[in-house]
Amino acid sequence: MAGVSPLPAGVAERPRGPKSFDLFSAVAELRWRLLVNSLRTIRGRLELVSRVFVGFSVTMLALGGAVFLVPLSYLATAQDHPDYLAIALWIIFAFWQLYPVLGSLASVPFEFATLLRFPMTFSTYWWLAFFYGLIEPVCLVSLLWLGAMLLGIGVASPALLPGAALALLGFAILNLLLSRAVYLWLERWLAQRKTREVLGLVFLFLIVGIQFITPVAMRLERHRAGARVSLTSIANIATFFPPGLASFSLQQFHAGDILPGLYACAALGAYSALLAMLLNRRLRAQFLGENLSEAAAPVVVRGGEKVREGWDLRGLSGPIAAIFEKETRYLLRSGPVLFMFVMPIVILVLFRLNPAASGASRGFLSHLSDWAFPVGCAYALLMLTNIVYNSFGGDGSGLQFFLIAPVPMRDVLLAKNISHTTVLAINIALVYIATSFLYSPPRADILLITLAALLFAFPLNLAAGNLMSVYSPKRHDLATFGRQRASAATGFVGMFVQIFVVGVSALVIFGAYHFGQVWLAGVAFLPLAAGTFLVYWIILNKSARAALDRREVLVAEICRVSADATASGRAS
Amino acid sequence: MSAPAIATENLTRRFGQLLAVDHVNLSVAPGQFFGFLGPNGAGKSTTIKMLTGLLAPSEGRITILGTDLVADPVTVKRQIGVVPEGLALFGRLTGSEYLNFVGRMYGLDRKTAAQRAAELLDFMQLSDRPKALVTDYSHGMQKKLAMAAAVIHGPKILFLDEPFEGVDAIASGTLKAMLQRMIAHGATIFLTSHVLEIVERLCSHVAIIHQGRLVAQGSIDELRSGVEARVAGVGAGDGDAGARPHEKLTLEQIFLEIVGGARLTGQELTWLA
Repeated sequence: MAGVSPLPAGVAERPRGPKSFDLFSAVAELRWRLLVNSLRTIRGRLELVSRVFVGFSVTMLALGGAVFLVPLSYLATAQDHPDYLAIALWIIFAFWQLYPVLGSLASVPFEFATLLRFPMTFSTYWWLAFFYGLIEPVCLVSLLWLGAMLLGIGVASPALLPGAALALLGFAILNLLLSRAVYLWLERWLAQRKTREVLGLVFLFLIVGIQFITPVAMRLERHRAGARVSLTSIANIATFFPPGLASFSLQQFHAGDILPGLYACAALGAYSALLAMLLNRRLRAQFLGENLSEAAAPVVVRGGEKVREGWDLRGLSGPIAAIFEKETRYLLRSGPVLFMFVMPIVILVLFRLNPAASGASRGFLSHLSDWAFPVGCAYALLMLTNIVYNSFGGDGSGLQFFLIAPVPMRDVLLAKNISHTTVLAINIALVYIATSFLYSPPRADILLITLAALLFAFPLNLAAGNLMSVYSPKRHDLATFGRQRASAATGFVGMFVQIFVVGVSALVIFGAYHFGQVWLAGVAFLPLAAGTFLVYWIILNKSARAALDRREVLVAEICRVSADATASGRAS
Repeated sequence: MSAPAIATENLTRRFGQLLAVDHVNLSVAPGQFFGFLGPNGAGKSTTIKMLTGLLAPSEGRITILGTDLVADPVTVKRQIGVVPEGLALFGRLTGSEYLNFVGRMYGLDRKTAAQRAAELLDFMQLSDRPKALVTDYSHGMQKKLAMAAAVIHGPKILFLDEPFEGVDAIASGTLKAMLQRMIAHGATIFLTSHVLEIVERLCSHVAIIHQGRLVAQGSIDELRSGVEARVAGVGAGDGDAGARPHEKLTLEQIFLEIVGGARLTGQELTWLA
């Protein structure tokens, strides 16, 4: 064949893998082609603009941090306060380790193990994984900051430079290994649905736990002696963590105690060795071809399984009841959605823990017992907009079924809205119980105004939500935390609707205050509610027509399965 | 002669400048097992999407069992079952919940939907893991579930887009038996497949679409006669069909002759072992 020369004699008998450098450059070129090819779509171009913006921000952050760290390290060393360097080391540690974790939860990561189909040795694969971590922006920024610290220390005390370089190098290697190990283990857990969901739940509970730190700390503040003891214990424990060890090492070198400083560096080395082993274990499992399939194993068929009948919902037609049941099952099986529903209660508990809520101080929080119910309800409504504004997002390929089923799209949207309304009603009941338990039962006038305001606000949100679900759909895995953002258009419209609702509500309530009859606001909301319900009804029909007109866009967006997701078996 | 089960008149679909389906006139009689064939990118999936209401035609008319699909989609959809390309499954329901849901969406009462769901799960050998979510099913199991969902309401016409792709031999046998049983009871089946052996074994009639245009339509014997006549016309030994004079042409040979793919087999990759 023209252009293809025959292989030299002997080559066929002795096949060789490519050189490591060729593999590194091939991977770099692959990433570059992925980026270039992504620019073919508007979404890809917008993504690039956003990346450029983020890249610029990260560069500014990196340079700003470096400019700040040089004099800080200089002053800490020159003024005999090397212990202050611990703060910088802890910040760098947190940034280096947490940023990639948040990043991998917020985006679909590159499937590193897909490279294994190519001929490479384990050592090449290991170093590829290591160097891949080295060129991550977060690593480059952190290395720049550590370099800035070394510069500041070196200028302040040139004699300290070798020791500081050793401690900071050990710290950097440890961080690099840790971030790679964390990334690859996360990748492993995120590859399977069940572990992914558990991880997401843990992550969200962690975030909620963090919310409780401030109120708990404020409560501890009342018992200052106890707090001081706790802080000392925390400081002692912190010494055994990598930033604490690096800081301890720097302090010892600064004090001229070389041996303890070297011991601390050795401890960093031991940590690194341990992490290298963990990384090795993960990479070895990948290299040997682990099976992360979640498909059911063949089982002996028992047969004759009795299938339970669908829910009996009087007053709803068969298809609407079926969609209602399906929606409810979906919501109940979604960790993030359930989490969203308990968030209003969490907020009420958080406010309750605040010492100001007990009436010790003046201002908003001292009136919490009055505001708790409306605030909880408003929060519940806001949380629900995440689903209402993208109501087809969680259907995945099932969306096609709505298009082939003999059910008008209007009924599909209506059924979804009925389930959303039910969820809101249940959530409001929970907020009422929580308010009564944590504070006191809401006053009759506040109860009336809040419920009437919801009757006004919710149909408007449903109407806008139906339109945005059709005009700006976005695939959304209801079981996965993070990793998915609503479309910018949806966010903008949602914000506009909330501003309108808050504006009108404020006018109505202040008007009622002006006349000295607060309960009048509740009455005034009722005609407004009738108006928004009419708007909802009109838009429901329009949205249904638009859904059919735009079925290709809906299917393309919602039923889309990315190549990455398919490769990792994440398609649902 | 009775009205066709499926008929299209000048069915056309454009995607921007691309003419994916170009004035296609299809006619499928009731009770036919109809295979819709074509090379990759020929317009098969686009056509089946238009026939099932998943995609709007740019031009032309679709009539299913005498009803215009665009004018009265709900009536048409009640009478058809579909296994689309993406399977249209709800991943976070169990198999039985999904079938129950589908049954009720097609107007079955709760009891009937549950009964048929149980029978179908049993028939498709999917009843062993009642609590497993559809998202955790293997691809073959998902395909069987999609097939079960497509027939739960007893449709008169079944549209299947690549029904045997990714399905093992045992499941494939089960599906074929079910489809032949439906044909025996008077249903019409319209399927697309790349596996020509299966189409040849199951279908009585086929149509071939190539570059968006319908290039052949009829019974397999009619197509075979047409190709044989053409090959004979060109001259013995010059044709691409490759069958000996006393052998019947296979559907694959007919297909390759019609779409012109046979010529490519002459190419060789000399460096390949």
